[in-house]
Amino acid sequence: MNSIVSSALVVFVLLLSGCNSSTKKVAQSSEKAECCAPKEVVKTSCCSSGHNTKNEKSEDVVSDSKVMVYYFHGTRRCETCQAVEKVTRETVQSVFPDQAIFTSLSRDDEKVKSMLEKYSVSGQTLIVVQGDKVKNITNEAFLYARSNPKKLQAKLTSTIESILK
Amino acid sequence: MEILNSLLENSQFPILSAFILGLMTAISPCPMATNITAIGFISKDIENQKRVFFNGIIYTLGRGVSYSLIGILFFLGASQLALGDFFQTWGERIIGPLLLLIGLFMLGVIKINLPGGLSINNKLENISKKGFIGVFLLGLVFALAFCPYSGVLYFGMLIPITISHAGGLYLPVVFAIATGLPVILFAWILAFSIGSVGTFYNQMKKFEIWFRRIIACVFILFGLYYILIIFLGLQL
Repeated sequence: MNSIVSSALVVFVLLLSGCNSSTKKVAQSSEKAECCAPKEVVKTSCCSSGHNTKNEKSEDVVSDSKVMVYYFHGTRRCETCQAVEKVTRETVQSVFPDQAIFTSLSRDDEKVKSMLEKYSVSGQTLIVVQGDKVKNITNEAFLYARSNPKKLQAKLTSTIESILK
Repeated sequence: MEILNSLLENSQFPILSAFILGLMTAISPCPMATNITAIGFISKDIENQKRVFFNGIIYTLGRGVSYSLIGILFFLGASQLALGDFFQTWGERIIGPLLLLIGLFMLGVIKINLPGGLSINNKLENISKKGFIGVFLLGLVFALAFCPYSGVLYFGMLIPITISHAGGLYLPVVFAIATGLPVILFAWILAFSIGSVGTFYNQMKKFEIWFRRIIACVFILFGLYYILIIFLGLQL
């Protein structure tokens, strides 16, 4: 009997610690996502992850002529997911500093839910948007982010260029 | 991975694409962890080596059924947004605690007695001893543990080519065979290449109980692994 109680307790504590930290992580994640969310989600941006650069800063007016590059991610960030975000951010910032804005968003953030429906986003997704034009390059991003980042850079660049035309 | 990528790019045939996607899934972190756990589980019948091989086949069949059923749901018009999101959100969250619980049950740490003198532990033991239901269920459940990368490979790449035409519904089975290939290969090696293991096993009947305990520990370790990477966000 004692062994049942003690083992149940062990499982409960393990799960509870997992859940708590998960909640904490989601909270942190949503907080960060809120900070990093684009204008259509929140008004100001306050990314403090060290990635806060020129074309991620808050802009009171995001012109319709600007291309938005949205990366929707889950709570857990796998290595490929982090590589997708890194390569995309760097490419947008270096190649299209004035024409495109990169934004990383947590799918778990309540404020992002409307965007998930709007762009039919399920799972990890990388899309390039301008007005009604939406291009999904998730597959290429996940195939190349780690094995051949240059291919992802080329795909992202050509996609943004084609949408800017 | 680079080779698989270029093969996938140049693939003109859906069946080859599905197979390559399956191989890429098999060597990605989450399915690899479930496959290693499965190899431990199917090896428990090591006294009957042919059975180990069939265990590997049935496990892969279980994976195939899960992948096919999800494919059929999409083919019938299920929302990619709702269904895809559900599996990618909950698949990886459930697998850790589940592996941990199975491991604890196998070790006998958790004992649940039902009214009338029935024990869930005995029932589980009977299931794993009788027939292939245990390994089939394992394949069925492990296939649902979608992690971000494997989720993109399955939902983003395999499902679109599967549902593009009715004839594509066999593709999830091809995908499943490729994801289960490491398990089938290992089972084949155990069954037909290592002749002395069975003899060794017969000589040491005590080995059985310890072998089961080791397998239980494998389940617990991988359960903890999933809990650590998913709930605590550790990069392992």
